[in-house]
Formats: sequence, structure tokens, C-alpha cells
Amino acid sequence: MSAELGTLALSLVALLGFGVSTSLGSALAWPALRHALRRSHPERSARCLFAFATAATWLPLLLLCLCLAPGFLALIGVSQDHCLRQADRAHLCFAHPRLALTLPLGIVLSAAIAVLVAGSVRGARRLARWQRELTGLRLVGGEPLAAGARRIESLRPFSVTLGLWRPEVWVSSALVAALPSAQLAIVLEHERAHVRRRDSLRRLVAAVLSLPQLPAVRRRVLAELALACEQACDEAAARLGDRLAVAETVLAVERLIAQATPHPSLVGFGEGGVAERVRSLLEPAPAEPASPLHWWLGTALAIGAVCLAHPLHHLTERWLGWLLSVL
Amino acid sequence: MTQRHGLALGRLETVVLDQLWAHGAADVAAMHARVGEPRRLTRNTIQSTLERLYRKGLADRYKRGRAYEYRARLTRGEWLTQSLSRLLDATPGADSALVLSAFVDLAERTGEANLEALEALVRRRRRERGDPA
Repeated sequence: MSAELGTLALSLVALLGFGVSTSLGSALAWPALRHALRRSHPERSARCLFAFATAATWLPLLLLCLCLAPGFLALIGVSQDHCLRQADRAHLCFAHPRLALTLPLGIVLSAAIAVLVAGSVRGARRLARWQRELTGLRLVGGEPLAAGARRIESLRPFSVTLGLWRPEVWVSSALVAALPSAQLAIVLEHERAHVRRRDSLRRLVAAVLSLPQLPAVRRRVLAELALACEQACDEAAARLGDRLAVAETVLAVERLIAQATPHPSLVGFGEGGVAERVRSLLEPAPAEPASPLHWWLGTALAIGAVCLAHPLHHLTERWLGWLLSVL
Repeated sequence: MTQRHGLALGRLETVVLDQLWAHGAADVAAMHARVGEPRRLTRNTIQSTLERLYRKGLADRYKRGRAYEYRARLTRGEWLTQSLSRLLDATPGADSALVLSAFVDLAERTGEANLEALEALVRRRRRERGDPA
């Protein structure tokens, strides 16, 4: 049992190493990626940004699975046993675990499990709290406004899509009263696009899985993802007819909110999303993504993974061996 | 008594509070008849739900004979405003900001000068297109 725990601790050290490498790689790749995505369709940008934001979690896990794959493949008889040739190194193999759980590895294992459990419990509690808040609002407030949308009595002008699993559109009575019906239809179409795309869920998953990213990079990627989601919904609303009308509606709502803000000093000011969205809507409609990029990327990733499994496994063992000798 | 306005409510607490708004003050027996019996909930469950609302500062209670009578401390509108404010006033990146998408960011303003420049840009584009003013 101690040997299995030793291998588990070794795997966690490898995972940590992959995580740090991915975060640093993401930080280096971010400026170029951002530049490239600014020119693509917001739908595609949002998908790429989601994959990029969450890469700090899924890529290290994928790399660890690849490292462990040769041992498992040998165990089920798919490939030759590679273990005998690697006897003298830190051995990443659950089929033939060799490394006993030492005190430093035990500390790594316990700390990793403690951080993971504490973070998950804390996150789940916070999420449950906001879900309860939304459930309360759903039960108590609002009257039907249009399909999938509710009107809520409030002096504040706003329109939001609330909820993760079953998002709903909520529009305040102040906004309904202030906007002409054509602009209200644009607002509703924009919000319905958020519902169809499940943007709140997408952004929450991105926020959680991007936690291992460097904080400055994470902040920028999540802000860019939020902007891409808004722009994708603007494009959906623009399909009703006029891109300029969508730009005017964004500005009209921004002006209404600015006028109704009771303490302007308490809110942030910036170029932010509104300016980017309006400028983008003044440009011609971006071309729809021609090919399903994610299929190509997925296929390339799968082929790369198969080719890389063995070299990565041995490279990681060598690196872990060096690390253990230093420690 | 601890008063903690603004705590998120459970489903049953919300239903009971909704009944207090709809029908006014009620004791445990009356609330059990309205909310407990249709849902096959015990009287104790309703009693503890009312007690929680009282502890959270969302209901007041007064002794009437041998039983307490509960009434909502906030109006429905006040509660809605508080709940919405907690969600809408969240700073960008906060937990609550992640469970909603707003048509226009509610926590960051564009600023008057930027707004006017953007509106002028849109008007100019309309003129270029030959749209009526």
C-alpha cells in the first residue's frame, strides 16, 4: 500500500510540474492568442478562450494520464511491459509501484488532498448560496414578459440572464418602461442567446478551472471571455436585422444605467466592454466559422497524445528522478 | 437575537415568507395548514422554518396567547431589491457575477465622454448609410 501511495504522491508532483509549465506557457502564449482571436468570429473566440482558460486544469491532467498510460496499457496486455528497463528511476507506474511513501512525498500527498478538498467544499458552498438566492428570486418575484423572460419590479434599469442550469431572463420594469419596443426586442434576443449558449455556466466553469493560471493572465482571459460571450450574443441579436440598432441599444442601456447609478463613485469606469462591442458592431458582420475547428484540434490532440505517451512518460520519470535526488 | 439581513433563503423559507407577504401575519398552526399540509410537512418543520426567518431578521414575532405570531419584517419589494442588489452590485469576477450575464456590465461604467464619442460614431455611421435622423 505504501508503494501505491508513493506512486500517487509522485503523480501529484508530476501534475504540479505540468501545471506550473502550462501556466507559464499560457502566460507566454497569451499576447499572440489574444491578437489572433480579436480578428475571429466571437463564437469561435469564446470557444477558444474557454479552452485556453481551462487548459491550466485539463492539460496537466491529460499529460499525467499520458504519463501513466504505458503502465496501464502493459497491465491490460495492450503493450509490452516497459517497467523492467526503467528499474532505477522514479517509477510512474501503478502496475509495478516501487517507490515507498517517504515523509516529503507524504506531505505533498496530504497537502494536495487537503487543498483540493477544502477548495471544493468552499466553492460548492458559495455556489449553493447563490443558487439558493436565485431560487428565492424565481419563487417570489417576476411576471411573464415574453417567452423565457420575466419582468421584475425595480427602479433600477437592468436586464440579466440569471442561473446556471436553467437560466432565465429578468428585465426590470424601469428598463421595460424606458426602452422603445424595437430596442427591448433586441435586449431580449441578446439575453435569449445567453440562455441558449449557457454563458453563465460556461463562465463559471472557466473561472473555476482557470484557477491554476497566473492571476494576471487569468483575469485578462476571463475578461476577454466575458467580452466574447457578449459579442456573440450581440451578433445573435443583430440577426434580427440591423447591427447599428444593436449598437444603439447597447449605448441606450448603458446611458440609462449610468443615469440611475446612485453612487457613481462606487462603480468602475473604463473603456471596457461597451466600447469594444459598439465598435465591433459598426464593422461589417464577421464571417461565420467555416469549419468546426474543435474537431480538427481534437483529432490533432488525440494523434499527438498517442505519439507522445512513451517519450513523455520517460522524460517525466527522468525529471522526477532528478527532483528526488535533489530533495 | 441575531439579525442577519440578506442571507440566502432555502426553498421552504422562501415559500413561507411568500405566504407571510400574501396573507399577512400567521402563527405556526395557520402556516402549517397553508404550507405544511399540502406538502405533507410536519408542524415542527414549519415551526423551525418560521424560527429561522425570525433569526435571519426577515420576520418579527409577537406572543398571541400561548403561541407566537409571525409577520414579515420586509415587504416583498424591499426583499427583492435587497436580493437583486446582492447579485447586481457584485464586483466583476465575484462569485455572484458569475451566475449572471447582464446586457450591459452593471459594475463598470463607460464614462460620459466615451459614451458621447460612441453615440456620435453611431450617428455618423447612420448618416453615411443615408438613414433618416
